Order: sequence, then structure tokens, then C-alpha cells
Amino acid sequence: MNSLILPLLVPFLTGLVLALLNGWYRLEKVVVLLSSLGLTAWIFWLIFYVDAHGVQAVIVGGWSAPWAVAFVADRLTCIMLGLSIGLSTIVQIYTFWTVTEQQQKYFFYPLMQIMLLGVNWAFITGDIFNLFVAYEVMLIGSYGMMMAGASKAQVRQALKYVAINSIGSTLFVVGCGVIYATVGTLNMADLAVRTAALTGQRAGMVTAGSMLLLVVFALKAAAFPLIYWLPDSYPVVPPGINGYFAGLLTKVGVYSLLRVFVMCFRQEGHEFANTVLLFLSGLTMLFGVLGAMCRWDIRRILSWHIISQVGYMVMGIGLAGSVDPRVVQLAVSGTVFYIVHHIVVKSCLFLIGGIAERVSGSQDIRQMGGALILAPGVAGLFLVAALSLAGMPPFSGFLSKFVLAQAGLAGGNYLVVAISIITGFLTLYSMSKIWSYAFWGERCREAAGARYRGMMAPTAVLVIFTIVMGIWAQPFLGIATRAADTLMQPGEYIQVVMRAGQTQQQKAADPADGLHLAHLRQEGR
Amino acid sequence: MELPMAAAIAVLFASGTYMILRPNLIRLVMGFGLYSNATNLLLITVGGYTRNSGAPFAGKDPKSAVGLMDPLPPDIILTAIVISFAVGALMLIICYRVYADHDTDNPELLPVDDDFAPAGEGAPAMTRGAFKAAVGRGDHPPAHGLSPTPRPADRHAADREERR
Repeated sequence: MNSLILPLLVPFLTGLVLALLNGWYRLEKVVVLLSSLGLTAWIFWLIFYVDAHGVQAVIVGGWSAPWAVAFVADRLTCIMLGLSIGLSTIVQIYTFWTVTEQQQKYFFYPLMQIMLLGVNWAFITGDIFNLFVAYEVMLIGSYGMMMAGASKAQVRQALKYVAINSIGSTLFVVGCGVIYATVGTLNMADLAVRTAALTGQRAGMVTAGSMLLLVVFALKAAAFPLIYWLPDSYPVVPPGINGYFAGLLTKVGVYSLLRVFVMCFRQEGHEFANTVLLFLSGLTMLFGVLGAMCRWDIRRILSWHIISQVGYMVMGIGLAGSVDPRVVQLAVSGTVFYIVHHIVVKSCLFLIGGIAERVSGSQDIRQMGGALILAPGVAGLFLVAALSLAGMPPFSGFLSKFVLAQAGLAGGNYLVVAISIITGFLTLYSMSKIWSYAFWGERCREAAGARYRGMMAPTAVLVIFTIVMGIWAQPFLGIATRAADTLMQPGEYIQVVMRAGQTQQQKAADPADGLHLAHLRQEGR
Repeated sequence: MELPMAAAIAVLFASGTYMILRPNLIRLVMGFGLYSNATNLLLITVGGYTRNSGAPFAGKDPKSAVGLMDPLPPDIILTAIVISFAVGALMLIICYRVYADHDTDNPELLPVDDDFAPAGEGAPAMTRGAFKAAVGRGDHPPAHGLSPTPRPADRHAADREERR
């Protein structure tokens, strides 16, 4: 499966070409469009291929398995790659109408491609240190995007964003060092094998190292004590691109939590991490939604809601520490389903927010009044996305919250389920606040004759997706459950990674996979 | 060899933390430099470095692996050095831009971004110091207050505005 390198190679080469095309504004957009559409087509093929044929892996650099860097595509990776690439296509088409020539001159699209490269890399890599490198590539791209235009507020916020993420990077490398010292590997598949046998003091060391990683991933995901950088920095990102930030960048943290704390760490006492996450998730949900309730800036309201929504996903990962495999399966598949729902709906809301700002000429929802008359189509899109975010029945938000609540009740964690339901109601309050101020009410100002129809089409795609995902949920829930199974019982994943670098003769000579996987396959989690 | 290394790592991390917590942008960047060095020392220690162990691929007996340190941590360190160098350079530039825009290198004197700030630079922005001073005087807080002690001419920012 050498084509697994494509989600890295295509954005990288496109970024280089775009950097050379600097100044040819229209040509740049054409190149972006062709590259994104091509990659999107390929990723949808990959999703169906992997779902049918199982995990795929490729080893880079000619070393053999546990030492070389592996790129692995299991179902979860494919889902995340599909979301990342599909969303980047939609967002970039949206920015064709919002980007200024000034921004394009300062490498808007090349940096976007570099960010896409980093995000894809983080999803596809099978090595924890390589994940760190992917994070850095993604962050450097996002620093550039955040400063596109270089206004004072953008530079100011970028400083905070760079500083807090540099602390995260330091902790990440230290965590890698501690884990490498104890276990002797950083390959995710190898980690899952070796940590399963650890007990006593060495297991404690691995737990300590994994706590460092937990802090890093929680920082990237904006889980409770590490949330305050997000609602300050996301509003300065240019409209359109903030949809990609809101959808994908925090979810890279959630994905890493899921991958590492459900699949990789299996030492004695590994449930401790899940307990910590469960505790944090309740606080994250509450703080996020309370922060959103008192804001009037539409971008800030939506940014605070990212935090409360991350709480739900972290709650799913926390519930996965249960001893009952059925609860774990429900929790993990619920988390995967929630990630898909959240990425689609949250970026959709940011894109709609961008249109509403353009129509009304203000970010303050008190001054937006009457957008319903100015732009009824936008109001319709917002209504669907907002109800879906709050978890109203026909849309995807309801089902994703339902599965997580089911897992929580089955595991006996009543308090966190209660918090999640309260958060849902408060989200509904906050969304109806935007609706009644921004869309209902007196028209505050004349329309500035803003052109926004081109921005509607990419947004409508996302809205249709959340409706389809809510009504025709079975295929989505099915693939989420199968992705959860691979995470819980990584026997297939480990086998594919370990044999990826072998030739046919070596495979024939070593029928026992070179590994003792029997206990892993039976034990499950 | 682990004890002196551990002590060195601890000192570097502690001083890095101290530097980062200082209200000064250049110290912030230097603090991250110390952090990165501390991390790299930690990785060397992890690789089983002793007084007698040779560098990977250049040990006393090149044909055997005995007496060599683990080659993977140096590999990780090289990558980490490159990344921290790039991020450090970027951070220096951002710090310079912040200094040029606001004429202060004290992050506590930067305007607080509350609602609506990013829309334009005309949005109300006020420092905590200016707010406290205004509250103390009992009058309405000023709409714009950047530095309590404004310097003569903000040359850098003016130049930059012109060039834009």
C-alpha cells in the first residue's frame, strides 16, 4: 500500500507549487481546487478499501518493523483522513470568496497545505515520536494561518498560541523520553504488545510518562484546565479557515488521546488515565458552555462551544476505562461518531458565522439583527446546524450524544451523564440566543450589498451531511463500531504493522507473525 | 552518570520555567531554549549514556554493539533540535512584531482581547494597569491605553504601517 504516502505527498507538493505560483492569484485557486478534489476522491476510495480489506500499512526508509516509522491506515485513521481532506476542500472553496490578494501574497494557500500535511500526518503515523513531528508541522502551518493579514490582534494572539504550544511540545518530547526509557519502543503497535506485559514499578513509570502525553493531548484538544488559549486565539483566524481550525485542530488532540489511551497503553493500572479524563470531561463541558453563555461576539460564542463539545469526546474516552467490554465498545464507537458529527457541524457553524458577519457587517450578535430578512437561506442553514449541535433529534447531534449517554449509564457514571445533558440544554440556550439576536429582530442596518451566495454552497454540503448522518445513521455507526473494535483489539493492527516491511519470502518463513499475539487477541480489553 | 545528569536537567527546567514566567518577551524565548536543552539532555540520559559508552556507529569496536549507546535517542534529539530551532526563530519574529506594534516587551501590558477585538484595531482595548489607574482615579476608563509610560516615538510601528 505505497499510496498511503499520498495524503502527505500531495499537500506537500501542492504547497511547494503554490509557493512558486505566488502572485498568480487565480491560478493558485485552480491548483488548490484540482489538488483538493483529487485527494478527496482518493480518500473516499481508501475508506471503502480499508473498511473491506482491513488495516493497511507502509514502512518508510527500509528499516524493519518496530524501528522504522510506519504509516498505518486503520478504519479510525481513514475516517479522520476523510474528514480532514474533505473539510479542507470545502473550506478552501469557501475561502475563494473571502481571501484577499494581500493574504494570498503572504502565502495563504501554501500555509494551508502545510497545515493539512501536518494534520494528515498526525492521523496516519504509527509512531509516537513521529506524531510529535506531525504536531509541529501542523502547528507551524497554523501559526502562519493565524497571522494571515498580520493585524495587531492576530500577532498578539499568535504569541500566546505559539508559547502555550511550545510548552506542550516540550512535555511531549519528555513524555516520549520517559516511555522510551521504560518500554524501549515508541512504535504504537509495539507499545501495545510490550505494555500489556508490564506490571509493578515499570507499569507505574509508563503511567507517569503517559500522563505527560495526556497533558499534551489535553492541551491540543482544549480539555478543562488548559482551555483559555482557545477562545482568544481562534477568533483571529481568517473566516473560512477558522472552520478548519475549529473542526480539525482540536480533534487531532482528541484523536491522539483515543489512539494512545485506548490502544497503546495496556500496562497494569492504565485505567487511571481514563479516570482522570472522565473527571476532566465534566468540567470541560460545564466551563465551555458557561463561557459561551455570557459572550456576544459570534466567533467567541462558537469558540467556547468547541471546548464544551470536546468535553463530550473526552467523556467517551474516559468511559472507555470501564472493565465491561460492551461499555468500552459503546463509549469508543460513540466517541468516533461524535468526532465525525462535531467536525462537520462545528466547522459548518463557523462558516455560517462568517457569512452572517459578511451579510450584517458586524461580529456582535446584538448588531446583526434581522439577518433572517436579509439572508433567509443562511438562517435556514444556521438553524439546522445549531439544533444539531445542541443535540435535537433528527440530526446527528442527538444520536452521538445518545450513544455516549448510553455508555455512561451502562457504566454507572450517572453524574457525568447528568452534566452532559445539562450542557446540551445550555448549548440550546446559547444557540437560541444567537438565533433570536442575529436572525430575528429589527433590521439594524442596510445590507452592504455583500456577495455571499458563493459561500453558501460549501456550507450547504456540511449541513446536508449532518442531516444524512442523523437520519441514515446505520452505516456511520457501523464503521464507527468497527473502528472501535480495531482500537480495543489491536491484534490485526499489530500484525499488519509488524509484517509491513517483510518480503514475501520472509512472510512465508515466519508464519507465526514473529510475535506472540495470542494473548492479545483473546484478552481484548 | 545519571545523578549529575538528572541534576542538570532539573536545574535547566527550573530556570526555564522561571524565565518563561517573567513578564518579558525575550526571556520567554530564552526560557524555551533552556527547556529544549533540558529535554535533549533527558533524551541522552535515556539512551544509556555513561562515561565509557561510545557514540553510536563510532564505538571502540565498530563491529560489535557492546559499549555503544542506543542510537535512537540521538536521532530523536536531532529532530527535536531542528524543530526547536525553527519554532524559536518564529517566536523571536513574533515577539519582535509584538514589540514593534505595541512598543512594549512586557506581555502584561498588551491589550486584553475581550469580545470583538479581532474585527479591527479600533476595538476597545485596555490594559489592566490602565484600568486600575482609571478605577483608582474614579473616572471612566480610557478607551485606549497601551503602555503606562509611552515612549517618545513608535518608529518601528510607524515604519511598518507605511510599508504595508
